[in-house]
Amino acid sequence: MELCIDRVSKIYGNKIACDRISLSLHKGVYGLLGANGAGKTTLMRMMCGVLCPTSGTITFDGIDVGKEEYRDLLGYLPQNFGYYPEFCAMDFLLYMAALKGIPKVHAKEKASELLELVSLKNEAKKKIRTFSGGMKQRLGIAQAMLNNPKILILDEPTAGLDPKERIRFRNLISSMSAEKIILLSTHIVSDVEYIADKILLMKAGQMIHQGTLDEILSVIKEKVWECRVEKNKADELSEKYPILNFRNEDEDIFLRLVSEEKPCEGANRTEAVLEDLYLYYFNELH
Amino acid sequence: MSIFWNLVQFEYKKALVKKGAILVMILGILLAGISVFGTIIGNEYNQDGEVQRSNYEGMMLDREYQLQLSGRALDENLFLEAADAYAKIPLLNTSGRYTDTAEYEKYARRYSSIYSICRMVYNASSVRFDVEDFQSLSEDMAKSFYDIRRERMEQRIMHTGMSEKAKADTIELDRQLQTPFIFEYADGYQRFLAIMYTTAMLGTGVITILFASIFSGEYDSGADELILSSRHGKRILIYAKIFVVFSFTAVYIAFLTLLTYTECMLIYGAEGKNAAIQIFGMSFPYAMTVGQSVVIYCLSLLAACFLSLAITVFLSSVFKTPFWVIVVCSLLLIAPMFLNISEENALLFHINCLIPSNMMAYECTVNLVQYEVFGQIIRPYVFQPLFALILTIVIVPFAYRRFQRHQVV
Repeated sequence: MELCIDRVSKIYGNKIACDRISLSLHKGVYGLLGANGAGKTTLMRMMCGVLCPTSGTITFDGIDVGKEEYRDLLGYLPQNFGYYPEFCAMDFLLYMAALKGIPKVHAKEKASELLELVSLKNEAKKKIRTFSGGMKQRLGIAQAMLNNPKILILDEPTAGLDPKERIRFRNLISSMSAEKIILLSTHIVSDVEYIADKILLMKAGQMIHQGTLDEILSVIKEKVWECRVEKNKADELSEKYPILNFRNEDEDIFLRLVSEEKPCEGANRTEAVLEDLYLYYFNELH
Repeated sequence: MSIFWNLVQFEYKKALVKKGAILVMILGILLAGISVFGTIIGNEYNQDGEVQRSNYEGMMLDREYQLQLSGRALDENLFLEAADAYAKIPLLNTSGRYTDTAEYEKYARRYSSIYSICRMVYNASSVRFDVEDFQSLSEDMAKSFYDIRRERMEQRIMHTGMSEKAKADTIELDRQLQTPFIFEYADGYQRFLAIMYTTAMLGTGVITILFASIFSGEYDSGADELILSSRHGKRILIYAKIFVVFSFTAVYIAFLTLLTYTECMLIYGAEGKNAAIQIFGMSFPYAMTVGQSVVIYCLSLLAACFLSLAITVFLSSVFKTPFWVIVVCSLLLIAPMFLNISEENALLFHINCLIPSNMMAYECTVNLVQYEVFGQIIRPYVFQPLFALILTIVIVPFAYRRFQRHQVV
């Protein structure tokens, strides 16, 4: 099982949204990280066949992204998906099931099962227009899983979910990772940290890093420092180093920063986490 | 196949479950239903402003008079008989209407339809034929009714922009008409044909509002991403959408037609289906009965609705919101009604008659200007619906491809 993205680019006028991205995805969870405008959604749309690349190819086990067979294997949750306000949750899932080619007899059973999984069983007959943002998001997750897809692409799946639902969702994704290729993008770095086997880091349309958490963190390994300094010193350090955290503490300022060497007296080296890497890459200083 | 029908069910639900859609549909039906009663609501008043009778009673009286004349040949005997009856109306003063006189009521009213038919022929652009002329209708003029008609027809045909071949064909067609025409009461059909124009326009407007969102609504709501990434979203769903819009349109327009027809027949009477269409318009050159022309007109009208719908569906696949689809379609539907193109320019006249809203007019369906394709002369009532259907078949795949290749940006 291989999802192959080969030198895929997307150019709008003189703006390069995705620049010659090549990836080879296998079973497991991939976390796609990047700032707004990095090209994550563009890449995901191209992987779902709703946006044609300017160049490059996307195939799954040799099946082109434009083919019906490819879409048959795909589950997709867009960032802001459209729904039909007059439909109830069950009708929406049955409609999506029909679109995915699931026979009517199985569709109802599958829809009920998924509604229960996303805690919407009691709301099955309620119109979607009455749903909160989180409920709509859960419904979106349910529709993406209707056809038991081999490729599951989730754009900001945890947006709008409360912490309890987020944890439940993370566990659900983890439980499915053994048999699917799951690609999820999110701004919530901890979600990726918890469930992603591999992390893909995008910046300005380019894939700047990919690998396991440890591999990816090696970039800033032993370069993360914490210190408590006066305000003047803090300003000086802020201009010099990428700041990961900035917090007022009584008269002083607490700083967490990235530096090749010890930035100041009293600074302590600390263990790097994914959020540090994220901030390091997407800090304007860098 | 079951997936297709399943999707059809959902597409029907999506289109018709909205309160706005139901309201627009019901409003369309109500307006169509009420418009039939337009001419029988109210009263007839005399010169002093007193109510003489209700319009309904007036219509029933005219119907009775016309039924008495039904079956009679439209020849000099009938024309002179009618002229004699009209001659009994006293000379009019400038402020009065001849229809308010007791003599009109007593003698002439029963022949009012004959007077109308005479006016269609005797009236010319240079010489107006009015009631005084009819009162003094000479025997010679009454006898030459069909000669004058033929002369006027030939003059009109010669002034059109048709080719010499088509002109000759139309003149020959007109000459083959069997005269004298037989008078029949056919007000039910006449009303139906008149009302159906506005009913069809109304129905097309309703359909446009309902289906402007068929594709653009998906772009607008953001559901396009889900649809186009699903297995059947780029093929079977589009077929289902197209099936839904056309099947619904066929059913809705057929319902409005049937409603209007039933009402017209119940109120004004169903007599006259075998009458020649010339009793509606002396310039029609076709040997066709009213009943036949009604069937042809209804089919032509449905084809015009389909063409209008095809344009709506295509625009829906192009525009990103239904609002602009409705705006452009409304303009395309309404603006051509104000075009008045002379028969002298055959090409422009033909194009004008092929615009859906103009195609919905009975006068366009049985117009004397013939179409010519590769030297073949084709009657307008054949060419127009065929053209509409062919263009519909041509346009719809463009909408299909446009939605299928839509890029979510």
